[in-house]
Amino acid sequence: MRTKLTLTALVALALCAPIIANLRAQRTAAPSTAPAEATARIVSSAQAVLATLDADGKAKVQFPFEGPQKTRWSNLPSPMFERRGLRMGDLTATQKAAVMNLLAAALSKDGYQKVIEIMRGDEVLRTTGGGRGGRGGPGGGPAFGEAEYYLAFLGTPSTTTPWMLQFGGHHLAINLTLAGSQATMTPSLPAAQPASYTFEGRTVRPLGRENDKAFALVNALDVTQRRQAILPHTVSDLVLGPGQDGRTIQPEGIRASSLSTPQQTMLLDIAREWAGIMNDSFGEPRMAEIRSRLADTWFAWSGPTTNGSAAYFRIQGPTLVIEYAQQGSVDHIHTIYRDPTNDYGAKFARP
Amino acid sequence: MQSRLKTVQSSRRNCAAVVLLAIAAGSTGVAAHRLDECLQAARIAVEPDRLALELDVTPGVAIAESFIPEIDRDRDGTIAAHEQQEFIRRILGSVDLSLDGHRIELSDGTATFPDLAALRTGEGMIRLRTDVAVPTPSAGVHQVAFRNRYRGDVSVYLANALVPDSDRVAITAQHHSAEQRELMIDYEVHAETTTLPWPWIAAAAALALTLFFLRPMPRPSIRASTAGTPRVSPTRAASTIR
Repeated sequence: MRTKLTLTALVALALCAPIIANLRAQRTAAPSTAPAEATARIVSSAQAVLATLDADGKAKVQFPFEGPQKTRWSNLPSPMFERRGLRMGDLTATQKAAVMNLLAAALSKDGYQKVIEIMRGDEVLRTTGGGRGGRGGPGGGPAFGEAEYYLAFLGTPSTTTPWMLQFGGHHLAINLTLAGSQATMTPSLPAAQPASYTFEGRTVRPLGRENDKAFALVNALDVTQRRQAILPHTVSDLVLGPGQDGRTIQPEGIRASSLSTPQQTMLLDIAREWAGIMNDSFGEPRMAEIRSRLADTWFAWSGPTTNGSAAYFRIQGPTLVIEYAQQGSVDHIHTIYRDPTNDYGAKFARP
Repeated sequence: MQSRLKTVQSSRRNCAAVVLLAIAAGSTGVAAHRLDECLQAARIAVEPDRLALELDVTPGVAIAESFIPEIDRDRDGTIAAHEQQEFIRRILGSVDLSLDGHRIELSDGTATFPDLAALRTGEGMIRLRTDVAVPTPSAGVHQVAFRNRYRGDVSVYLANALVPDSDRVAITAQHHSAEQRELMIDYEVHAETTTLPWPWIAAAAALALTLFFLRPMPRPSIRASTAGTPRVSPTRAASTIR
């Protein structure tokens, strides 16, 4: 009898083991404290911004978490695209400083620097006659410059409930959704024009690292790998840019599993230029997620492979889409960064 | 197959209604600011029983004025419903779509239009969508072919397949023409299968097995089974023991 019972128990365990293992794998790991602390700092900085505003300012910056403001972002300059929120050019020095402190808390050191350089590039565009200074009227021509960047909060800045920080203007759209210890910066759009300029005697290339790392990778491919990675057709613009939420295109190019280990490292290093824009406490888990799905990630290239040429590349995995598209000129670049499974925090942001 | 396709198309034409929406400038459908080109971005969805085509048309600011008369035919500064319908028909008439070599007629669709001011500044995008019911192809390899013949003089093109919603369809290859005016999508259709919840079946089997082995066993019978064995009643047995 006892033998029968033991045998039965062993058989039952063997049959149930896969189920138990699956359930354990699905259980989420206990959250690290670093992201929660980062959220707390970001919320504190957001509240500091709100404290500098009068009632009118607060009404301008605050939007419901769910609503049309969530998808109100673009690479276009104002007023061609009508942005809403707090306009940097309308703020006092104290208010501007509070906004920049918020960005410094929300972004990594490199991410913050990238945003500053994109904004400075737009200022260069303004001062070199790329567009009218100051504000254009509705339907008027483009208005470039650092004053034309807008801040918005969607939902109330909170350490527990979901909310979103939007910051953007010409060639920049940062959409950072936070919920407790979780955060995502997808979809976001870092772009640049001019792609290279001089500031305080040094050459600044806001998207220079992205460009150079990508050219290095495509040139590190062997003949067989190039045949897969380099698309035989011209891709002249972003496929999944603004207005393309919720779409997933069929991957193309070379699968990362066909790359050597050093090449895979190069690919991850390129992805980090986007995934690492947000605070490191969120950026590192994001990179870990991208790394875990690397085998199903694709790299595609279109155009010449000599650095300094106008080219296009795409990195696409189950939770990642990055596109880099030079707009007919090496001096004008648009990029897009998405997670088809988690844009706007779809996986975790339930108000 | 061709006659079935025509039947489906005819039925669809009879049943479909064109829904037209006008969206003012400042919509979320704005994209890159091209100057002297019109960007036409096509996305094709392949499902077992339908094909869907989305086509975004964004004229650049430098060509907008020559483009607008194609939409605002009476030049009154507004895009009336009949003008929208006419433009949709013109676009769809310039698109070739076929399944396994059989042409699919495209005549019905929906579209969103920006206002003319947005078109003039190069920010306006016309988004057109058409859904076509197709007979479910047999399991195996198939091909959809797409070609966009609209305004080749001023346009740049994108064309991509979307990842299918149905797990019965697997896209195996895309063949783009050099300038992406044409796209051929090779795909496989898998036969329908029933997905069994194997983990739960295993758990149920384990439970059944456990219950079987733990079932109460019947008590052994006191009555002797062989003939000739004397039966002894308890009373009589007690009286013989002194």
